[in-house]
Amino acid sequence: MDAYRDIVWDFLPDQVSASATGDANASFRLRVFDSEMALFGATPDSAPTMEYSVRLRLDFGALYQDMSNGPAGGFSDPRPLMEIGRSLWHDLPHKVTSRLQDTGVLEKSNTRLKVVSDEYRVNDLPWEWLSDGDEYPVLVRSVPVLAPTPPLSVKTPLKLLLVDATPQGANVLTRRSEFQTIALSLPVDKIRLERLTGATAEAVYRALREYQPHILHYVGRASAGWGGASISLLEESGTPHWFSAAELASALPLSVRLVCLSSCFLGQYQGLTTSAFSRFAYAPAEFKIPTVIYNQYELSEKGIESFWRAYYETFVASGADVTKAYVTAQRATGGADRGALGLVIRDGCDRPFRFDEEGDFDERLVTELRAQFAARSVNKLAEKVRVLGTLASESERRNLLEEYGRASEILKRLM
Amino acid sequence: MLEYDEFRLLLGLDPASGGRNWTIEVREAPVEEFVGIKGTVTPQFTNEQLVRLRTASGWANRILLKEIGDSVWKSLSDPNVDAILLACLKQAKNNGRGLRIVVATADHDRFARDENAIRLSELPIEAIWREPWNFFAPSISTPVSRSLQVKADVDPAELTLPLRVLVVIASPNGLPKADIVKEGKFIETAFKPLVDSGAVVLDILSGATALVLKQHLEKQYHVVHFLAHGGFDVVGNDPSARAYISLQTDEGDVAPLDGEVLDLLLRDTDVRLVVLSACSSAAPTPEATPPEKRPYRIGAFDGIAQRLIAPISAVRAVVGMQFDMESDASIAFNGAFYRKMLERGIPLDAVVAHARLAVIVKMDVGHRAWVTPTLYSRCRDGILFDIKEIRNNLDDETRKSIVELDSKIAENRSILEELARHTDEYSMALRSLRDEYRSKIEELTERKNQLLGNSIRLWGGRAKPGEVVSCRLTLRLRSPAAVRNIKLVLMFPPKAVVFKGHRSEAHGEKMTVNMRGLNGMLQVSIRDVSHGDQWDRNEYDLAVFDFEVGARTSDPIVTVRVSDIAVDMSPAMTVSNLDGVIFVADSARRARQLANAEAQVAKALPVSWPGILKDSLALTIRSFVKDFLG
Repeated sequence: MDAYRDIVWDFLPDQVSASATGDANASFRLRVFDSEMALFGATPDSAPTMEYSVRLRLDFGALYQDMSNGPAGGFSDPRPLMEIGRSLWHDLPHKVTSRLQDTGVLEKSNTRLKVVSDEYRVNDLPWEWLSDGDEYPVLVRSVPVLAPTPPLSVKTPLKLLLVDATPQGANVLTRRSEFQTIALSLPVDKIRLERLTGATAEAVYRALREYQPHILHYVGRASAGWGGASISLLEESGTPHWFSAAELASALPLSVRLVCLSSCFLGQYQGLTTSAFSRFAYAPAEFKIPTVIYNQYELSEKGIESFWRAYYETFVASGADVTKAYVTAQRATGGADRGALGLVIRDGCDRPFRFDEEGDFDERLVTELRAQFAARSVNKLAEKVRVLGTLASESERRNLLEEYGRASEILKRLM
Repeated sequence: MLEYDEFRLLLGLDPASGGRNWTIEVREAPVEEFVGIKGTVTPQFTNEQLVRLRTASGWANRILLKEIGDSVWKSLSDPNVDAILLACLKQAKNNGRGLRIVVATADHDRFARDENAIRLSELPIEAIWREPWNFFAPSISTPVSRSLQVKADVDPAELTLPLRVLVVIASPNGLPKADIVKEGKFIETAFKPLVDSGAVVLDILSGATALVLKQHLEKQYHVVHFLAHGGFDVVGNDPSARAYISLQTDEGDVAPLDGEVLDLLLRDTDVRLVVLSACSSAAPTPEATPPEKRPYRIGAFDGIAQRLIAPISAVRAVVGMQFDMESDASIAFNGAFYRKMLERGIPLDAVVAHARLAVIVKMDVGHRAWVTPTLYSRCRDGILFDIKEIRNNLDDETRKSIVELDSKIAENRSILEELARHTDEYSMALRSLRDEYRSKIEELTERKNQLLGNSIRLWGGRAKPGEVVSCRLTLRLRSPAAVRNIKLVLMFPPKAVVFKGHRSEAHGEKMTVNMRGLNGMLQVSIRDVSHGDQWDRNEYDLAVFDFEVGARTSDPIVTVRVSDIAVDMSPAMTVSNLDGVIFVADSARRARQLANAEAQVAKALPVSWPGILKDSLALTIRSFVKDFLG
């Protein structure tokens, strides 16, 4: 298995002339690291390898909106998106982009660019289109964690719960049901599908409890508010029932290690600029939501089929390598649909599953779960210490180190 | 005491109008048929009215405030919703009940692209006025509050008196000082009777820096009240302007504390209520705002309240001020608010309504001051605290340790609950892990017991669905005492466990235990506990209560709560309580098996059979299945 070599771009807010309601441009401090752990000051050399002030254009939401108002079924012309990608590239310091070229991130799939930020405006940027004009880097997004969650041992076929909660009369993404398209895209010998249509919250709870899926694939709508982001499930009457990230986190069994959020989102409506799926995908690390793939803008029916077919096939064939599956799916999709879906790695884990066809892995499973709980505890503390900065007390830092030590010990047993 | 129904409206942005129109949905109503999506409205409340409310001068003005209140209500309702509310009000009144009006917003203000549109959070719902009901918010029978949740999602937090309140006063250089200091004094005065009675412990932190605040919070307060200037601006290096509270640096300069950091400081603490008040906000007033930036759109604490009651926060309710609060009004509000809050069983929105009334008495019903306070809450039935009659006199260090233990117990319980959700394919592997976490919880609970001083504890146990678990009730004494009578209440989820009986003894001697109550609640009264003897420092058995775990119980943990304890002893001492925890083995699996078996039976019964015959047969088979699984 290839291990990824990461280049981490961490965007922090910087002094700026932006008004309270936001300008089209804003300044950020870009710090470049060699690993995500450095963000928490956890490695011997935690200093960034580079640090620059950058000014980024932020009004791409409006572009999505303009494009969404175009013909149904996705964007036919990728050129405006490619132009955005080039513009993003040129907004970044030459030394930062040339390092990507020098280290071969544009060429080799085992070098990966991770984009990290607490700023929703950075997270809303279409990083998937970042390009020097010729090639795209292997790029993923991340909600950084200090302690990664180890892969979960499973036997194939993987279990996928496909939930359709598209409300009646909603502007569905494609002429043919996206739900059907995804179902038909799955490698049936490797992934066993359980469908749930007209999903009420109760039905989702029941299905998660009884089916214990490994992957949750949701098709429906999302919304975001002060209370956080929500996806829409249905009431018995067919009206939306908003289901928050916190509720989903508490409903997910330990077996679910990948969540896919697709289809119609509020961004497609005139006047609303941001994708609520993005807010959901970037829910606080403390929420026990694993890695998420989410729609950023509308894509064509063919795009949906190409993406998910390539994604799931590669995912299984590569030993659950989320990045490889994602990049392969992007390449297979092409056109304007190429960058429609974002990948947010939320648990520091490149491979959420470890396929073990032979073994009786009971004992290993216990250790894996113990490691998962330990990682959670560490990451909660690490996030607190990171946000509090100088306000964090000595005892909190000491506690973090102790918990981290314990979690590392458990992880070592899995090596 | 007045009991309440809830009328919950959910407001959202109507996508089709670019957020200019709002969608309305009735989420809760005393009549089920009223619940549902009701359509869209165009807000009638205007920017001019908002600016007027934000302007300090020209109040009281009853006609104007009623006009504003009328616009607010028309922004929230169409004729259908209006009729529904009136019907709910009438029904509540006829039944001798109050109606809690809760307006929830599910959409983020930022999504509205129209600069001139009123934001959802800017609508002063507290001003709602409707002929012939007059203003709703200052009436204890129709309190008005805000929420960010489509449904209330937290139960009351247990509060063992005294209520611990931290008042944080910050008045950095360059900002007006006089009013904040004056208000601090008045708060101290308002609290004096409560402090003297021992019901409240009040600490005042003046000239607060963030670090000192953090250190103070480790002492575990229930309420934190900020008397400080607010602002909305770029904080430090952050380009996205955000709301903040102005604390101080060591040099006395402004040190902004934003909602995200405050939220983290309050996490893992006992703080459940935050009050944000400033007698003079640092936000620009309409008069001071340059013409090109009018109308001013930002409230001083805008966003902090919302952040603090987010799903992962410890805080459950926030009282904030949507406009600058006049000093006199603030004093009247705070005094009435805290006095009322300590009464048991009163929803927090009714407490705020009571305090609004105090402001009206002080200022006038036509004054904007009573509209100014806002309450954001996520508490079920509006109840913030479940106030215990007993008093707790644990020292700061012990209290801190107990909160840390509670946090660890909660974390381990959550893991155990997660483990219990797993199906048979993992069950063998997870059994040892479940045992491990049960043991951890038991160990942590015992450590807590050691810290509590005198305590009444219900010991739990482990059982499978259908089995009976015997729970010992004990009294732990840290110093000798003669114990006369003990009263307490045991509360348990009636669907999860069934009370089967009790035995009573202490040191081999029978005690008189009287019990009454049904459906999840037992009132227990034990008389002549130590038979006139003085008991030494030790732990004593009082009684044993038998609970049968329901065959359908899917919860891995069932808590039998010990509450409302009253111990008549000499010398008089404080006594804490510790709940009983019953660990249910294989609960989820067995509940599933039972449900599946019953479903199969139901499917197999001929459709033509009479219902009563089917029910009777189903009951027999259910009993058989239960015995078989057991």
